[in-house]
Amino acid sequence: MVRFIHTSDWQLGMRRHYFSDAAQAEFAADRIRVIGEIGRIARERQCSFIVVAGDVFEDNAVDRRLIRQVLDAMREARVTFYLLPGNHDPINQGSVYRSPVFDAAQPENVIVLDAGKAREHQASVEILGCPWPNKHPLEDLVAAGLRSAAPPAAGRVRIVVGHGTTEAMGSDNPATIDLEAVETGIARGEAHYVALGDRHSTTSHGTSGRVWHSGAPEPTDYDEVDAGNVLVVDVDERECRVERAPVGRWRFVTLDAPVNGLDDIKQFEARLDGLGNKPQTVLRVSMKGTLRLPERLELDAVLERAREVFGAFETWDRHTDIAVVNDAADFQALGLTGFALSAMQDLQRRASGNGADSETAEDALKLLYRLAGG
Amino acid sequence: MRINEITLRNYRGVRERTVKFAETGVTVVEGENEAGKSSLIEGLFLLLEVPDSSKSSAVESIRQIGKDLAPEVGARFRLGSSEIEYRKRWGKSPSTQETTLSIKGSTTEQVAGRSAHDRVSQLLSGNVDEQLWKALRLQQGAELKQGQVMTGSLGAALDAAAGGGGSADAHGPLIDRITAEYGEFWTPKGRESRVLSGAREASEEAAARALVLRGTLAALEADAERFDQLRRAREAVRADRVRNETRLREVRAAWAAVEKQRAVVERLGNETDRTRERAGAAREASMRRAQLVRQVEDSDRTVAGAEARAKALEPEHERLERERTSADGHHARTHQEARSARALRDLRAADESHWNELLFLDQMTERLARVNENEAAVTEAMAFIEAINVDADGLRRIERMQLTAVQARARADAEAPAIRVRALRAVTLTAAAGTVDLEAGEEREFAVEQPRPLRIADLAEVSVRSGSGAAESLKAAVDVEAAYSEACRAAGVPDVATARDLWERRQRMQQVLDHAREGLRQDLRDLTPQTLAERVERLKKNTALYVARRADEPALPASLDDAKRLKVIAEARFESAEADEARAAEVLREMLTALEQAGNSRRQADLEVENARGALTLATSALAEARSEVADEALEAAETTLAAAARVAEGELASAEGLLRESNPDGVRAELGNLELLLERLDSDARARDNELAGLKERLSARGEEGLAEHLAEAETDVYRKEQDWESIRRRAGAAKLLYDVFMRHRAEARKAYLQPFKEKLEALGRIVFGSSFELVLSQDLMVEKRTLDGVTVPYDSLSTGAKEQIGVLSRLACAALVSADGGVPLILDDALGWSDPGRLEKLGAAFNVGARDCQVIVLTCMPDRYRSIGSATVVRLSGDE
Repeated sequence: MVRFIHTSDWQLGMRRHYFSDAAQAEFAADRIRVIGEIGRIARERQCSFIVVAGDVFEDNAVDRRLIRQVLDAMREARVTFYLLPGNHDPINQGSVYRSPVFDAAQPENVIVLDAGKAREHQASVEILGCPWPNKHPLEDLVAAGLRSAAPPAAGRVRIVVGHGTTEAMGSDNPATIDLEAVETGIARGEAHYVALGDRHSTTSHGTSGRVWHSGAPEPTDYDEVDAGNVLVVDVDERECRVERAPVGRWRFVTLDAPVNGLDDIKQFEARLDGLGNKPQTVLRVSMKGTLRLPERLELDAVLERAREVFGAFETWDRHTDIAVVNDAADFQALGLTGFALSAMQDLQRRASGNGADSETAEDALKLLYRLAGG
Repeated sequence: MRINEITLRNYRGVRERTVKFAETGVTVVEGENEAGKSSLIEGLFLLLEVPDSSKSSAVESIRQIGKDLAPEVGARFRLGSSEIEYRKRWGKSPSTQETTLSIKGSTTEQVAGRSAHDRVSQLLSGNVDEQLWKALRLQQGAELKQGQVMTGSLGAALDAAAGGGGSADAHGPLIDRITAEYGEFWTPKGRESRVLSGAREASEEAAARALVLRGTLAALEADAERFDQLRRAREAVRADRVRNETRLREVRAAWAAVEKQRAVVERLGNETDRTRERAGAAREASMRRAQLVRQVEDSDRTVAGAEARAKALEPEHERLERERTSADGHHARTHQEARSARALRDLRAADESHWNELLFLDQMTERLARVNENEAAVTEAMAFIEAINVDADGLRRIERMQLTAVQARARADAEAPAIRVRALRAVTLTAAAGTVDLEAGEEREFAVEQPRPLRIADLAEVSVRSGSGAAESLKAAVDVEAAYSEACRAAGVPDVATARDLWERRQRMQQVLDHAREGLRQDLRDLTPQTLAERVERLKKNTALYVARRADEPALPASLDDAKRLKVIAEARFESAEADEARAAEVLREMLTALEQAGNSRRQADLEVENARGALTLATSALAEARSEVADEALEAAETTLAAAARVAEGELASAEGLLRESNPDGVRAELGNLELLLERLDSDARARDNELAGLKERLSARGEEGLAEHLAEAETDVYRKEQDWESIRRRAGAAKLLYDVFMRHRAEARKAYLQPFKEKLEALGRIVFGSSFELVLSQDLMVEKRTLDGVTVPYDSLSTGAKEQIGVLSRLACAALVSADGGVPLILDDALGWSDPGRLEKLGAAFNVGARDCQVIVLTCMPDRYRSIGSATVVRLSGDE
């Protein structure tokens, strides 16, 4: 029985353009920090090694300082890392793994699975990497890897490391991994565990229990279902146990809020207040409702405060629809008379129409409301 | 605001003074210079604006010199519904400084000290339009211009007058804030400000930067892919080269075999050619012998044929000779006839010419007679005309002088004195002319031409002296008559009648002369009389000579007509004879041609016979000579043997050529050439790919170090942020612009509405002063642009100082009147209207009476007469020592 950690999709060097500089810096730092965390778990759980199933880097052209930082973090983890080139960092001539910086800074405990052949890890384990040779391979690289390698010797556990989506996910990419072929290979003893990367949510495939997407150790987007884990795998020819170990600090949250009046705004604000770990929370809100102008200004103020406290904050425009009604009473309070009153009424008429002009008129009314001291 | 009372104490020269003002209507404060009128208003402003602790120069300037009494100002005024009593003392030390305030309204308020000052400032800012307050205060000596009256209070008042909301606040501060917001994004001319254009440009620049980086990164990725492709392609080239080298070796071997077979074919080919040449020579010798035999036979046949053709031509030649002789005779006959017809025709033509000359002779003879006649007439007429001295000018001069002489004589007669004597009894008179006897009762008149006495018998001598005028007239008449006589004498005539008669005769003779000259011109044309006569003579001689020389037969025609007729007949005969001769000549020519051709044919046939006989001789001798050299049989045997040898050699050659074709020499050659080129190309291809690979590797290595992906990610973040900024600023700018535009438009429309009530009020007041035709044109901001009076429109700037001053005062009065409903502010005039004449001042008084009915007007003046005519005015007189 061999124990190791299966992780993938670190995508180091990734940026989120809706983050502030500070949030981006923290996001980047946490994604390097998580390497140490994975190493810590590996040591604690006495894992033999760690496989990273593709996309260690966001791109082959990442900053060279980052490469050093990442390799330093792995060196300090004091566990052997097997890194698989994925679709983000394929092993072509421009590959990060062939860069002089990587070459110079690569510690002994970091091994790149850069050729489609089995590599022995101690006498009882071999690791068959199926690296991406370029960004657009025209075949199922896992199937090709299994075909080209002779079956493992008796008593030796083979871990296949691949990257890509499986057929079950309905892709028509020629590089899609044929899950049936993989399971057949497992049944024949050609592989004992297939460690996959690319999908950021932790997912088990097929019926053998030996084919997994580990998911990304730190979430990267709103649509990831179960991200933030690494997998602790115990496997031999007879059995395979897989255990999730959460390591991520960040989370991506989508909030949907009805906004019809001040009460809704207060409730919405309370929901925001109730969310913990705000600096590491990336929040997206969609809002629907009808508000009076002062309420709309109040909502704007609430959103502005949220922008200041969350790691990142954005309104989901595609799913946000707030109608602003121009209540006569709100404007009466401004005490406008004469031409100012008729000008305001003119703007109200424009705002009640449709199209870009009405939006501008609504903005103009908001501005008037503010300038007139409302 | 209404000022009810102002009190000054220890204020400059004033110990204490209180002045009360009417709340509505005009209060005129009269006083001499230095009486402290202006101090009242100055004091009020100090009270309202300057704290009691102030050490400002304004406060220092009101202290009494040499006294330690603190100046003090108190006022009672009304703001809205509040009655206010306010007093300040500007002491030098805090203990002597004092401010008290009492407000009575819905509640009562008592405040003192600095709080009181602040409270009043607050009340004023809430209730009094500062701009209007300043605009409606005309200070002494200040230049009286149109007030900038479009202030808050007036705006609101006019808004109300135009049917607006009636708020006291006309949104000045709001407009300012809207304008400021607009100004952040737009220039006053509506162009984008730096903020707006900068945001857009920043967004575009960020996008451009990201685009460049994206391109660079894509190129990097493409390079990486290209590197892999190239490497694979390089390997394929290498494999290709190995395969083609093997093939090249095989093809070279095949080419060597081809070359060997080609040598065999060449040798056999040479041998075959030689055998063929010999067989060919033998065949040619046989053919030449057969040809000689055929030539002898052909020549024999040719001789026989030529002889037969020559014989056949003889009868035809003889027939043609006979026909030529006949045609010759006919041609000679027709030639003779044509010659005699031509001679007759020529004679008839000469006869006609002769008759024509006779006719011409007659005509010339007549012309000569007329010429002689006209020449005689010309000579006679010219002699007559030359003998007469009277011409047209001379005649006119004589006629004019004769008329003058007659007139002068008549005048002299009329002016000459005369003595009329009537005899009372018979008496003898002796006068210059002689003695005259008169019977009793007889009368006689004597002209007094010279001072010679008239003696009446012996009784008396009467002397009459004529006047000098009569004498002059007489002398003039005598002079003129003498000139007339001299003119007649010069013309060779006794009198004017003779001159006139001569002139008329001369005229007639001139006509005769002209007529004769015209006759001469027509008859002579380009001739002279002498050449004409010569011509007549020559014609006479010619005609006689012709008759003499002409043959008698045929006879000369009797007339010109006969001559013409006979000539026509002779010409017809001649033409007919000439045609006959031409036809006969043509027949003869044709005959001669046919005869010549027949002769040629016969000579040709003879020549052919001769030639054929020569050729036969030659052929016969050549054949005999050849046979003597080689007999016919030996020639045939050699030909047969050599033909068989040639056939054998050709068979061997064809077999060798078949073998060469089978080895496909062209195909092998082509493949060999192609393979050599292909290998060269593969080498060059491999080198090019190696070079490209090396370049790509270097580029990838260098570019890979730049961290492009992260730069791109940063750039895209920048794009996102700049786009967000731009979107936000664009929206804010759009909102600010729309708000500003809509507000300005509505304000402009409202102002248009304000204009009317203000204009109406001002014109109503103006009509009182300037008359019923007074009209104004106002600008949007209520300034007077033009004034119309009695139909004459003048720009405001062109008006007299007095008129400008009057309109300035009236516009403030109109303002004050319009805003008075909401409290407004008093109109204060400090010694204004210095430029207005007494007539205008009187009318201005009436205007003040009407305009100030509902508002407060305070007039300070040292010239009470200026405002004497304001009927309803409250007058306060100030003396200097109060």
